[in-house]
Amino acid sequence: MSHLDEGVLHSLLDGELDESARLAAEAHLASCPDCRRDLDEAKALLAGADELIAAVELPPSTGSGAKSAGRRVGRSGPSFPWISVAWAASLVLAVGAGWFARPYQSTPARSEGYTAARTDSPAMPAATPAPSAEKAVEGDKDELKEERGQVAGPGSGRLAQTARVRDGERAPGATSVPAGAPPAPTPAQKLVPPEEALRVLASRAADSVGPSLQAAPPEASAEDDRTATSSAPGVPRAAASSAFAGKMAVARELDRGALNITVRRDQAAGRFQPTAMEAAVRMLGGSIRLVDGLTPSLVMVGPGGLVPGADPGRVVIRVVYVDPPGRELWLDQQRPVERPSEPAAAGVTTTALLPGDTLIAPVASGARSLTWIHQSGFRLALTGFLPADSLRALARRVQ
Amino acid sequence: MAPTPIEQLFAEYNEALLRMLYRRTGDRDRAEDIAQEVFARALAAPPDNPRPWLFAVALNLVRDDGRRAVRQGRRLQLLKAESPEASPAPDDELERSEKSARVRRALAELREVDREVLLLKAEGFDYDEIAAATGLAKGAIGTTIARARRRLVEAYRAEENDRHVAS
Repeated sequence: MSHLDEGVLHSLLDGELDESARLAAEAHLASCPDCRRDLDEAKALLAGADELIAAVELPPSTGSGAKSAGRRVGRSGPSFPWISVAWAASLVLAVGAGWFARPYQSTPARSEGYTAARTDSPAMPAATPAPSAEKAVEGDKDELKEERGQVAGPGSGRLAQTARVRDGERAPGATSVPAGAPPAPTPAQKLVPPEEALRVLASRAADSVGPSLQAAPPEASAEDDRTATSSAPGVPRAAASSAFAGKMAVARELDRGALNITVRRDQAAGRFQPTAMEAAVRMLGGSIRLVDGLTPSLVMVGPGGLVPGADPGRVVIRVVYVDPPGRELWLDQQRPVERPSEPAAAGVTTTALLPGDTLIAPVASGARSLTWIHQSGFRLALTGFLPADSLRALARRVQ
Repeated sequence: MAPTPIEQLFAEYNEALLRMLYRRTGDRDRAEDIAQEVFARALAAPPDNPRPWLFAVALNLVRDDGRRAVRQGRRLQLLKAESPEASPAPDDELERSEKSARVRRALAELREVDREVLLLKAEGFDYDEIAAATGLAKGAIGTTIARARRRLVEAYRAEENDRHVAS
């Protein structure tokens, strides 16, 4: 009999061989020291792999999941019927909101750029308070809702000036823009540089809460997750009040001058949004660096606060790639903080890297990030689920 | 065979599903979202053979969700939320957390099919169930799982070596 292959040995150890195959394998092992050695190795691999996988334990819920939301409204433990009811309520509301909001999508108030989205604008029907079940899950499912609402993609003109406020008071007349709302027309938009808008927001936040940036109240009601429209230059005081405490003001959805502001209660806020390369170049204030040999799958823009070590007051341009094995990696780039005419904002901390320095650091979820200062002075960070050497090799290909 | 009531499916499989999804994604909230989507689908179309069905749907959703996450740049936000600096932990907890991260990095190095086979086996699936959930032939499971175990252990050792070199 020929030697036992690795698959047979593992099947034997897993108890998956049928009776005749098992007897034959055991008979061979009794007379073959090489296969016994292979069996011992297979045992070690099996034990090692099992031990490694068992080391990844399910952590406690962070409290932001839908089930946690359920607990916030008084339920304990998993309860699937509740979840399905909450989903149904949420879905009905989302669809209904989208339907009723249609007449408002093309009104001048929504199409005048930043200044058009006023907190005192007529509230859309969607702004009516949600039933409790819907409230309970709204914040937890909002990312999924947003995903479904972002089908318009980069440069689509979806100019909903929404400020999602997860804390504090709801802005007067706050409105929610339903996922999937049709693009608003874009006449006469007032363009405001995103970095200026960020400074304004940060300033207002500081004005509202004072220099000590305290975390938001730990007990948040189910109504904390909500959406309100806002304007960038005239950010409503309500939106810049306690909701801003300890948080960064975040610009998002920078699309032809539109600015969405996201404030999250429990973590640095904001998201990266797709954008066009041309717009990215304008916002970065310089050429976009690319990884030679890889084709970008997407260009995005987001707040610096989402990138460790970056200046939170400036936007970061992200170029996303997917390598041939399907692993994603992204190259973040940000204009230098210190310029003679633009000193760093007070309180801004940045990684003290000099041109030529590189910093490689693991980040959670198994990714690594390689950060360096490009010869142009731009701060670059290449992040991905790759070994350090691979990241370094790719970084050398950045042009 | 009559479909199992959805409440029973949830009670029986939710925790295992969440655990497998967390090991696959490294993100508890994302795992919860996907698990709920799985049960929603089970509610809409009750499966006859629920365990492999639930896990197969979950793995498909992970793959789809991963592609969306790339497009939206969501992953970095999750990374930031998980940053150890955000919640200092005691040494042993930190060590566990780091080991967990290294294992997930090692898992990320594997081929998709290898990773799925390992995670399903870790949830007690036999070869028949793994074959049903992954679409592989049962006869190929032994070879696949042997290769996956070897690669996982090797990838983890490489992670350990990187760590020692870095320190």
